[in-house]
Amino acid sequence: MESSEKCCIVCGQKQVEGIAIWKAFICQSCEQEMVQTDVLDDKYPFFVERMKQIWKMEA
Amino acid sequence: MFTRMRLVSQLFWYRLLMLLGMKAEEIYYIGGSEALPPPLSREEEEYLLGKLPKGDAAVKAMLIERNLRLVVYIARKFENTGINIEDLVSIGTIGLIKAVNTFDPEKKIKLATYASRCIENEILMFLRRNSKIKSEVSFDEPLNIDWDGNELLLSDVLGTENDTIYRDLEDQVDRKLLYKALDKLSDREKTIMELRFGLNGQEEKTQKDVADMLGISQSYISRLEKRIIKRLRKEFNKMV
Repeated sequence: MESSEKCCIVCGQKQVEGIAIWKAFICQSCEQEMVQTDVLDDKYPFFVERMKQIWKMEA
Repeated sequence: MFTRMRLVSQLFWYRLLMLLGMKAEEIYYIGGSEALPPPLSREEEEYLLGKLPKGDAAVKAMLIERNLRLVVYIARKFENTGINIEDLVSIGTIGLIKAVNTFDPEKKIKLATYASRCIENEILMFLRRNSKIKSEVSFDEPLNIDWDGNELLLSDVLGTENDTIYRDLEDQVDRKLLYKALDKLSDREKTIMELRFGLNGQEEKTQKDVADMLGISQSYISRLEKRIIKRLRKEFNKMV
């Protein structure tokens, strides 16, 4: 069961439920929190920063 | 039929990779879109959207991934705004995720159309937020740093006129002194000053008005006024 756990690029926790975009994984709770976070919210820049992981260049 | 079979196998592959905690080994460079997955065909989109309400994570992930080109395309339109392209793409991706989460297949509009609006809106909102922050200046904003490394803050150069705080207090004191000095005058002299300078809270009157009210000539009021002011000054000097 452990093999299905993936590290969420937002919270950094190992989770099972969520979506995989490109090589990155976003857990369900972070995805939902992000979807409900307004651009004006203080936490918004945090999500922007974390989302850069999706586009991280691989060597 | 062929499209459906292909998508089913792709979704199976997605689920398998997700289950294993892996994803397709592809490289993406922000400079180009070669490695980005191709946009969905109409049939593919229809099939996936039909499955979206069931909340299948693989369906959602595929819808997001196959619209990433749209994010890059829209983000590039805002490159001249001074915001880093990486930030713009990240913001656009959040907009895309919001779009896929809030899309209603019943509305009969293309996901790409709806997602474009969401992505653009997300970026525009962020730009508005940023311009708002830029227009706010902190008192602790460093303006310059001298050779010794001391910061010159905005609060260091901002100030008020030296007497701004004391001015009102001094006016209050002067007013009290004036009323004390007025008490030393005769009733008629006091009345003339009150009428002429509106000291009892009424409007200031001209020498002619006061002369008419008291039944004396204007020139006499003028002479009296000069004499009273001279006397008030003396009383004032005694008190200060």
